Amino acid sequence: MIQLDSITARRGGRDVLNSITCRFPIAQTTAILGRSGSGKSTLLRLINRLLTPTTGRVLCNDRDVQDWDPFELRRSIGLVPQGLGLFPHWTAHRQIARFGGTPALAASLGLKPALLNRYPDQLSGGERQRVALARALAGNPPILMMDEPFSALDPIVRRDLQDLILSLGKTILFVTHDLREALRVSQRIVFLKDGKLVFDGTKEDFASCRDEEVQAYFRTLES
Amino acid sequence: MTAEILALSLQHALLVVAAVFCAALAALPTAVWCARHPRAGAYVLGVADILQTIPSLALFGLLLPVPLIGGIGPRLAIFVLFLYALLPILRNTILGLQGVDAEVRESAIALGMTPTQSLREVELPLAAPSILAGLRIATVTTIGTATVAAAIGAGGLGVLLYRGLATIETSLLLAGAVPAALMALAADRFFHWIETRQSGPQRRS
Repeated sequence: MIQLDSITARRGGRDVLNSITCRFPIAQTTAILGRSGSGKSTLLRLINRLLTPTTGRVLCNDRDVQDWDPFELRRSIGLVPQGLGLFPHWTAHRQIARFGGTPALAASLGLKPALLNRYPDQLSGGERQRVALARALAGNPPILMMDEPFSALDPIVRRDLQDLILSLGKTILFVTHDLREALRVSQRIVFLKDGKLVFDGTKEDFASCRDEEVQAYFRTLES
Repeated sequence: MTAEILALSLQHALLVVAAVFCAALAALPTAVWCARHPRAGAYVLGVADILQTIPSLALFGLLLPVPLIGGIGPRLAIFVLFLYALLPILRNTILGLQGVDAEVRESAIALGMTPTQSLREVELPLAAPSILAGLRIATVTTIGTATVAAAIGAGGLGVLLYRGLATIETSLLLAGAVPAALMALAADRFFHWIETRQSGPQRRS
């Protein structure tokens, strides 16, 4: 379980996140939804201590992340960053094996053995996505965080990977600005607007959220 | 004559190797530090920049009376050449490290790598082409600058050049200049060879 307790994050004289309190329950998938610049990526970075909050606390398993050994904390949270951040000088195999992943893990994510000897720039977008996912899962972390993991994928690969991730049974946080995706993949939704929390709850309750921007999101589904 | 040219060439090469080796030992860790502390790093680069603008003959003269490093002979020559070799290695290493994609660096940390692991396994290998270019520039320019070392009795191919200048003897000038030029070309080729080997077909970035 991850909890954010009155988190404010000030970057460059501006509150990127403003008194956010929310929680991400164990073994559930939570979509972090909001428009560009609403603070979604910052929120993820606070959890694995790539950033430190200005005020407030982040708890992971009821323990302030500042009290964790940062390397141990990060190894228990797999991250797939927005641009993937694959190491261009390593083969797919090395990216996964370096962090304890096995060929079986790669295979379970749909990476054929022949692909594992390739470098990132020799792989397609979907294959790179799978490598990044395999790398994030390599150390078998209980938590997985993904920053717009499916945005660059064609609809079939996208659906395929979404199903795959849901079958893992991990605590998953994923950032998206696509409501349809959030509703399909997640059990819970956290909605951010200009760095403020608008909604934190189940996706069933989300539809009845009265916020104007949330309603505007739902109207995009109708058209 | 041939024996003398060979002996002086060897001496010349030793001066260069000693100076560039020491410069690399000093500049690489400094560059890593500068890349991690960009603001302070700018000052270090500034100092190295100023050193580079002092004419080498003047620097030899200025340092001649300084205790420990001064005095006639190869020690001072190596020290001055070392100072000149610092800048290209520093600058290229810093640029190479800063050129590593921010997201790649961040994902190394996010995956639980320590800063040392990230440096050794991710940042330095990705910066390697730039670092090698720095070493190449440092070596090639040092081969040229080392000819001045003869002025303070440190030997090397400069001996022939100074003798040629004093006696207005073209053949002596050529005997000093041609081996130095060939040495510079060879060094240039050598580093290019390492660069291509290291970034072979499989290691595109």
